[in-house]
Amino acid sequence: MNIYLPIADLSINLFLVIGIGALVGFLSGIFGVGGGFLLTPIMMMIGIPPPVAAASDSNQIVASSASGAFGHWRLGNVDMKMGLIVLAGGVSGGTVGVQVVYYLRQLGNFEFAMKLLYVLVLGLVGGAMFLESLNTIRKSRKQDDTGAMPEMSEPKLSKFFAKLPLQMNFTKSQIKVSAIFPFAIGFAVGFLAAMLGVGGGFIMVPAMIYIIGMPTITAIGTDLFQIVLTSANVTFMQAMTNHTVDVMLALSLLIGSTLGAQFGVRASKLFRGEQIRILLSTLVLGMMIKLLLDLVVEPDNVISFAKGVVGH
Amino acid sequence: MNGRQNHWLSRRRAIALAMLGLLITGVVVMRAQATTSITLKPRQLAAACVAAASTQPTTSPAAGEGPALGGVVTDSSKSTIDIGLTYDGEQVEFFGALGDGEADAVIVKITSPAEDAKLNQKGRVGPFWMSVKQHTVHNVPFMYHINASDKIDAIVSPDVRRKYGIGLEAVRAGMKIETTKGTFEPEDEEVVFGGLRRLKENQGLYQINDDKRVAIKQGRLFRHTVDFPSAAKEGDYLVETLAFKQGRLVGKATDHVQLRKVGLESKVVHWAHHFPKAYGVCAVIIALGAGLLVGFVFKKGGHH
Repeated sequence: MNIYLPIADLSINLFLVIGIGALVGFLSGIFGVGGGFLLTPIMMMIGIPPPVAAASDSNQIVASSASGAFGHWRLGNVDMKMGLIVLAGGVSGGTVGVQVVYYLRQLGNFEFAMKLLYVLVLGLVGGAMFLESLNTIRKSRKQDDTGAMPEMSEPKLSKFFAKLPLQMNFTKSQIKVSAIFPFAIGFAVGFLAAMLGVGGGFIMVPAMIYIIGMPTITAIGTDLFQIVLTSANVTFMQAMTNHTVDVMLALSLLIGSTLGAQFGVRASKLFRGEQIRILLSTLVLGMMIKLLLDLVVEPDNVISFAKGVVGH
Repeated sequence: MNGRQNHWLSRRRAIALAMLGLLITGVVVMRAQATTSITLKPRQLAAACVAAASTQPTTSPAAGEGPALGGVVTDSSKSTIDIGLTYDGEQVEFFGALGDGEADAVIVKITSPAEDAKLNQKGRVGPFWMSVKQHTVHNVPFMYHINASDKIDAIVSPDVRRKYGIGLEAVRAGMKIETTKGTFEPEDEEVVFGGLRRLKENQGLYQINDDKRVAIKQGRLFRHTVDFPSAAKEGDYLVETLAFKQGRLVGKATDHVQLRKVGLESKVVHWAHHFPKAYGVCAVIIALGAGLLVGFVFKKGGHH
């Protein structure tokens, strides 16, 4: 059954869209990650225009993180002070990002910039994850599963942030850190949300845990809190500036991803942590290679329609 | 599943499922309303055509809307196509009579008004391929189809093709490139026109169907199908039926097919462009509502 997506302006099989949502939901259920960084590239692969894919993914992220964020907030897992500073950064970054999207579309190079940014982000995240889980597997083999914790070296970055001005106490997380840190990371994640249609949990959570030493559950709760509001801001800004938010696409994806996540969560119990991470990193690296090829291989047709150029 | 929940269908879940059911019913009803179409049995139409042709072809109300020439009469199974939720292109049957029976070939041209096409041209920059030039091509018909009873080269001479705008060469002759970013080089002309043509052909918007697409019966009646691809957008499409005798135009009839967006779809696009603030706020609220609802149904789902 085909449905016509009015904003994407194309007719597409509804079950294909739901299926993609389900696939990414399943993976995010297994891996315990948001999946925005998987969803946008897959949407582009089935022919959704990149700007619409990114903006509609942000809209979908609002939906898919809403109940999780609400749950964590009710359980008191959100460090409000930290969350609000991150959010201030996220809203600024998102707003700037949407303007950058607008100008890049005018230049006809949004798709190029987005894919390049994806290659960098996926390469870094996937590569780091791959090496880390490979190490863990090697160590656990040597120590014959004594359940040793992975070594955590004192990160240099945390020393750097300890020297910055605007030091603040975050009582909920029981840490002291410069307010510049949460603002900066919020800004970066907000910018990526606008450019790539991601939630940014894959950057935010590790940063909060490893760099500033927030408790894991508080980091996750605070991250979900900022994701909902940062993505909401990006959705609104994209709708305002670029008219690229397809609500129907977002809702179809939501249906799929919700169902997929149910099975994913169950399937995740079949694997060990580092196995899951190595699977995920392989997937991420595969996606990165596909996008990199898009950038360097001669295109089938060097001419393409310029959408979103003023006067169109 | 949660574990603490004794029965999968607790009261809260039942309510939530009922809400979801209502939502789905709403969508289904909307869909049913969005796709109302005029359907005429082909046979009735053909009969009407014959009747019209044998009596008073030029004044018949069943004739095409435009000026008819040489007793050519046409009609179609539809004159409006609704672009609704399930729109995936549409086929329209055309029928006609050639009047006095002198014509030996039929060429039907289906076009939509010419417009400007904005294009990006990619080029190699270091290891990457990225947009290096932008062009605006003027006078590009959004859609251009030819349905013909034989190869168009065999029916008409190049001069006649140019005169009546028949064939992609004739369409191309009317286009003009304006380079808005980067510098235009002579070889770009071929790249731009060729690239544009392939884009349009891939979307099914440019088609030359001259493999006996128009079937002529006993030299008097003809029929053919016009494929409106899923990429066909809202607008007025002109269907010109040209009848030729030994390469000379002897008859002409004009029909119009209107494509219009109906139902929620048309409104969504309208809202998105004219009330972007309200649209953005609604998009966020709908997502929040749907997300919380879904989270409520699947207690443990709603993974971020």
